[in-house]
Formats: sequence, structure tokens, C-alpha cells
Amino acid sequence: MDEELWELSVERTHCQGSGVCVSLAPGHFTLRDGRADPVQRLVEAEEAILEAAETCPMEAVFVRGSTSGRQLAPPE
Amino acid sequence: MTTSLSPDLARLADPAVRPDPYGVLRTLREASPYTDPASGIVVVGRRSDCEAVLRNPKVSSDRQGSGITTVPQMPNLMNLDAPDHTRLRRLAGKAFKPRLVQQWRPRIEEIVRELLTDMAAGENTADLVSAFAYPLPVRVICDMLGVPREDHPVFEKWARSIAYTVDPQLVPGRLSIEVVQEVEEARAGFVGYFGRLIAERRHTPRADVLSELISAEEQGDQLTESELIITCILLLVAGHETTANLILNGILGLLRHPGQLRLLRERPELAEAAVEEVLRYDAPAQMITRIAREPFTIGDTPVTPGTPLLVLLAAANRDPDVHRDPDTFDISRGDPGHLGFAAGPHFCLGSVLARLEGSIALNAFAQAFVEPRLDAESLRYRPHVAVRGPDRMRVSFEEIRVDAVRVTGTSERSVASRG
Repeated sequence: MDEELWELSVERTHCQGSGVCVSLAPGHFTLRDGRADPVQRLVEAEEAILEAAETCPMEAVFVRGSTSGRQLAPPE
Repeated sequence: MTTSLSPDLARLADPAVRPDPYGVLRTLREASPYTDPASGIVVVGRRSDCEAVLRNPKVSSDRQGSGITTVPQMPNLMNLDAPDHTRLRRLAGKAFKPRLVQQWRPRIEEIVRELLTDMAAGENTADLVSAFAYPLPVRVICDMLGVPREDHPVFEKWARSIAYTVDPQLVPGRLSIEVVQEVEEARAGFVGYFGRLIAERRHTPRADVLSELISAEEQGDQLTESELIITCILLLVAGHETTANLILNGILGLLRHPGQLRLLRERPELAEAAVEEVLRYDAPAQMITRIAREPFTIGDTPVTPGTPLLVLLAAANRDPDVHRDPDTFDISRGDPGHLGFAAGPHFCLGSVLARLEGSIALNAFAQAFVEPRLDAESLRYRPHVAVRGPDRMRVSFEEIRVDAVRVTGTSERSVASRG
């Protein structure tokens, strides 16, 4: 794995506000008006973020490589 | 710990309250948060408090040995905490993602049409519990798991027994030795059954969820044999009782509110909103329990480590602070979300499937049944407290128009599962 930053996004039209991502990666996601939002768009790589994206029941949380644009989660 | 209860809390378990627990739930919500003096259980009923507890990392789902559930539990997705819970959920969740679940839509519609056809062939009355709402999710989850049709009846019995394991202990001794024996019997039955099925699928994988669970892998990590079995049981039971009750509580809501039934018939695009309203107004999952792991407060109520918490989802869903006219069944309300699937790390794993099955079933009921009438005398509720739904519900009708139910396509899945 290279050292690129990760870009976090939440598809707000899919998000149901379950808060699974907030529970698994509390520093990286927060609930705003009943929907999840990344706290910061660009972050350093961290396993908990992949866990959050992969356990989202709606597949609304996306993690991409910031320079490559490669989707790291959820699996395509 | 929970050797006795104050009367208000004990009333929740009273069979006489089962047809309409919402008066008791309202009383409990308005008094909450508070510590039940007799049992030490902290009662949580307001929407904001329930959400805060469910999302609080100081709260645990590991209730084993806490005395709040009577039936001994196995470690599973519902009673584990991170990191074990995260690992299991990540692996098991793969099979229930929106993209995968949507592929089952044609198969679900096909099953609905089968059931409607069977009912249409009989007399102009049917018990929608045994003829519609239970067989639908059982057939769907069994097809998904790859369980042959002839094995379904025994699964229904086992699943029904296992559903007792999520009930909080509200009345000491309420769960008889027989119930505990039934649960043990069901558990042993499932373990033996799934053990054999898993061995078969390992040898010859098929296009089913079980084969996907077996091969699901995360960085070299796989579900172990016993995790696979326990996850199968959980998916079957959770995807069965609750979905059936979602459908039944929904049909009951529509029958009791003819204007809403008419609205859904005229506007089938409201089917998904109708499911959301059922999950709010009369949720299958009425309450869940938690244990405090570290000290915290809910409002002014201090919670010490080891304290059991009773989170009244169904009370929170009618909190007037969040929902206008909370006791009104209105499929077009478009309110902020409910807690019908809970919240936080244990948010329902099968929500996408439940919503899909629920919307197809409610819409099918609205479109196909001509002049449906509830036989109010027939209505009986299941004894479970945490999972709420009818045990018997006869509906009479003039006709069932199976063709009124839209079919969106052929199912590749159904062909594969029969292969």
C-alpha cells in the first residue's frame, strides 16, 4: 500500500442515519440532521474507516485513494 | 438482579396488554429515564435518550450473566461488542448489501404471487399469519441460505422457539422449563442441520448466501464453523419473525385505517413509506436490552457499570418531541426516521431485505385483495414481549386478484436455487 491519503464521502441520498459508521470510526464520521457526514474529507489511512464503510448497511460510505481515485471501500 | 419489578414495568409482560401496549409504553416513556426501584433496570423511552444509549460506546450488548435475559445465549451478532462484533458483521453483512438484496426482488415477487394464488384458490377467508406473512420471509431467507423447501416447516417451529432468547426478563419465572427446553432443542436442531448444509456447500458451492458466507473473507479472516452456524441461525430467526411481524402489523394498520389502505392502493409508490410508518407506529422490535460497561448519565439519571438498560424502541417511535400526532397511522407522514431497526453499531443487518420484503408484501396486499375485512375476533398475539406481532389474523375478502401484483422480471436466482 502506498502512503496516499484517503478521501471520505457519504452518499446522503442512500444514508439512513443508522450511525454504524459513527460507532465504528467515531473520529471520522458524525451525524448531522440525521445523516452521516465525514468529519474531514481527507484523512490518513486507518483500518476503522474501512470497517465503517464495509459495515454500512446502505453502502453509503465511500473511501477512495486521494490521488489515485481508486475505490477502497465498499468493494466494487 | 431482576428478581422483582415495579408494577408499570411488569405490565409490559401482561398478556392482556399485548393487543395494545402503547398506553403502558407512553406511561413508561413519560416517566423515563428512571431506575426501576424493584429491579434496578434503567428504563429508557424518550427518542433522544434511546438514541444516545444505543450509540454510546460505554454501553455493551454483552448481556450474558446480567440476569436481564432468562434464556442462556450463544455469542452472536446481537450480543457481541467490538471488535468481535465488527468482524462478524463485516463478514456476514456482505450478503445483505443493497446491490445483492435487490437481485432477490423478482424471487420475492414470485413467492408473493405463489402465496396469493394459494389463498385465492381457497375460501374467501384466510389466516394471513400462516398463509402469507410467515411463509414469505421463511421462503425468502431459506432460498437465500439454500435450504430446501421440504425442510421449511421444521424451521418455523425452531425459529419460533429461538425468538424467546431476545425477550427481557420482565416477570421472574415466566419462561418455563419447557420453553428453555424448546429453545435448547431448536438450537441443537439448527446446529446439526446447518452443520450438514455447510459441509455440503463447502464441497459444492451454489449461488446462495450460505456459499457466500463460507467464502466471505476479509484479509485472510473467515467465519469459523461455529460462527457460520450461529450466523445462519440468527439470520433465519431475525429474518423470519421480525419480517413476518412487519408485514402483519402493516396489514393490520391498513385494515384498521381504510383511508390509508385506499391511499396505498391508489399510490403504490407509497409502499416504501408505508413500511417506514409501520416500523414507527407498530414496530416488530419493541425493545432491546443493554448493559452499562462504564459509568454515564442519561439526563439526571446516573448509570453505574453492570446496570441493565431497557431501551423501549416502540415508546421512542411515538415520542411527540420527534413525531407530530405520534399515535396516528399515516403512511404519507414523511417524518424523521424511527428506531424500528435500532441505531448505532447493532443497527439491523437485514434492514434492506426487510424493507424490500415489507414493501412488496404490503403493496401486494393493497393491490390484490378486494374488499378485505379483518375478523377482529380472530386476532391473537404471540406471547413474546420484545418481538411483537399477531399469532392469528383472519381476513375475509371478495376476491384476490393475483394479476394486480406487478412482476418486475424473471429470477435468475430462483433458477439457480432450484438447480
